[in-house]
Amino acid sequence: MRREASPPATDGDEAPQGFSVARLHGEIDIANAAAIGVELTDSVANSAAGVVVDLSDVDYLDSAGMRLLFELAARLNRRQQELRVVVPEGSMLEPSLSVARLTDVVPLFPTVAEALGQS
Amino acid sequence: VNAGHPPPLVRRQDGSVAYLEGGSLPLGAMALTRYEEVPVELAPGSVVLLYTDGLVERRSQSLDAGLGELQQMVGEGPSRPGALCRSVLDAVFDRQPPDDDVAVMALQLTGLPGGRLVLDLPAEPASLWRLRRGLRAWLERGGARHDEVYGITLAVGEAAANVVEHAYGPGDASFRVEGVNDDGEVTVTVRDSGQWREPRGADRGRGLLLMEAFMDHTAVHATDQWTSVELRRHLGVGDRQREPVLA
Repeated sequence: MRREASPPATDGDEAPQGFSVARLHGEIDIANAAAIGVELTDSVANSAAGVVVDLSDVDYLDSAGMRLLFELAARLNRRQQELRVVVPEGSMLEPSLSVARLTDVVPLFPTVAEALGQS
Repeated sequence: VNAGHPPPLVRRQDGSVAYLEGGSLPLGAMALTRYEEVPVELAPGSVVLLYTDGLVERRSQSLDAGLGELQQMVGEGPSRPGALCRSVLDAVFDRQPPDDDVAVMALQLTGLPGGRLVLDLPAEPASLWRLRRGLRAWLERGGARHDEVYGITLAVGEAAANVVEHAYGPGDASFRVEGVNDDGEVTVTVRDSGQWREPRGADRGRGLLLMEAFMDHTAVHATDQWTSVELRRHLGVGDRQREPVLA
């Protein structure tokens, strides 16, 4: 987040196969994680197959940010929808997502295209 | 203490070069010689050159002339101690091979790269990004790689988030983050004036997991008045493949 005390922007796109794509920017911590979680949840229509959350432009994600992803995955799972997360190769975020075992419950893809199965 | 040694030469960070004063006679030369301790303050980056008299003494010239030449060589020489020794020896041997044996040693004071970090912040969520901004700049000045900056920032951020989440009421609580970089051994302490509460819930457990995964050492010290989390990591220890700790 390059600005002070405002949540990172989320851009929504309707993608093929019923997956929406949400791009997060900047830094995610306890100051904005809850608001982003609400926004993300609201962005997924009941009819959608799921959502691709693109973390390519996220510079920092702490355990509060990870909680939002765990909770989103669980909520979508109850609705028989799927969360896919995009983390580019060499991203600083990747080791911490492995440590927190997000990778056990959410599949990671290096690009949005691959997450959408278009590669 | 100097007992008849040629005077040590000091090059300071501003480039000035001077001999240290205050020598005494060689040990054993006279029965009742007083040996004086002379304290000298040196800033990080300063170089101290120690050498045997063979470096500056020539039958063909005065000792003062030899000392003057050495002073000039050190003033114009390379900044790193190893290269400085080589250049001094090369110059002396090029000019005229010494009459006596020669030993040279250069010491450089490295000090604390990046200095000390002290941040006092209110215990509120908006403090976390301020903390990260200050911490990153300090770590970069101290020579940390990108992955080290990220890992340490994440670990410290988790400790600080635990403080912020447990702070009572708005405005009246604060916490302090102190960093010390001891020649690549980075220690960051997050200290608040409240009592430590065990991290609760899955994500605070995750916070501890992250601290332990990205630091060499994680310790919580608690008293009735304050709690501190001490996080330590040695910089430059390769890109460790950190195995996730079994939950």
